[in-house]
Amino acid sequence: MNEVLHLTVNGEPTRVPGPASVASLLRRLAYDPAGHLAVAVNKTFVPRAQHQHHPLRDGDEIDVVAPMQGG
Amino acid sequence: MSSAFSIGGEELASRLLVGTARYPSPEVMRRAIRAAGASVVTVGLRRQAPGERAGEDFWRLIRSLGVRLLPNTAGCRTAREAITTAHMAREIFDTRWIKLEVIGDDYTLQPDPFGLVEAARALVDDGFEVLPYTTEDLVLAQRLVDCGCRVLMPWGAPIGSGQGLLNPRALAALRHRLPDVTLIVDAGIGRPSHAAEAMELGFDAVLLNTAVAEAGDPERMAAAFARAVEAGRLAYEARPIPERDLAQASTPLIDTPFWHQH
Repeated sequence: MNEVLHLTVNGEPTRVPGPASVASLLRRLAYDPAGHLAVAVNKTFVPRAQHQHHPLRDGDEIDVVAPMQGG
Repeated sequence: MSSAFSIGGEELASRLLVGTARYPSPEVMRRAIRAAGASVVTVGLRRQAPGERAGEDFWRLIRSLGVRLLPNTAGCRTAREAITTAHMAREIFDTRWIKLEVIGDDYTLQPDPFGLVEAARALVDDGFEVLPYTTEDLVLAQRLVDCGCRVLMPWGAPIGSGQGLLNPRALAALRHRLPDVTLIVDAGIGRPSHAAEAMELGFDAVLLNTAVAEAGDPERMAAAFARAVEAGRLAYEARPIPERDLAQASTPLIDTPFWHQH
């Protein structure tokens, strides 16, 4: 099945072939697997241990965040 | 030296907490944090594009400082956003401490009290040590304590405004009514005298960022704030004299030259 998922990653429209998980999306987008990153799907936190098992659905909004300066 | 201070059961060497934003360069930030003697610094999260290195570079810099990290939920406007951000921060920074910000107004960056209480309750239940950025409102403070917050961080003035303590009487009332809660003035501090004032009121610590980061010489200003915080705390512990309406001569007058009874 070559279903295409229409996702939004950090606010940007992104299309990926399905099925996809959080882990496969991060790999496909070439995020550093050892990087200090955290992920939310549809504004809900997805812990690193679940990235492999969390399936993405058409229309999902994904946020990938990293450390930054803050007050 | 003033007495010890702790957050979440962890004893901290300094009562000055500083932010990591808005410095002219990473090296200036590093020197300023060292000059402040801060044992806790605040950090944030931002969206990162693939291949972007900013997050990793900042991570390495901040780890090299050997300080405790206090991640924030800056930019969150609802309890749900703040809760999710807190969980992401816990995973990335490996700490259960969170500076909880739920902003209710874009112009003043005033906390949304309703979202704040909702998020604080959920995060305390999830095992976080929640440090809410709040207003000086006493009843809101009590609600946050009821949720399980052991530290409250009322604003002195709007974030980045440098106006100092706009409502010192309300801040003093918070101290008086919540003697067992750790109180940290967060936001609005512009000068070391503002920080000293907060400490003289009995606040346990001061958290600031812009006042140091955007000073002409951040390292020097950080050193000035460190002394002001220590001076204010020592003064509080030394119990200042009450204000009086009339003069009271400091030199004993009896038997001074030309003394006579009126």
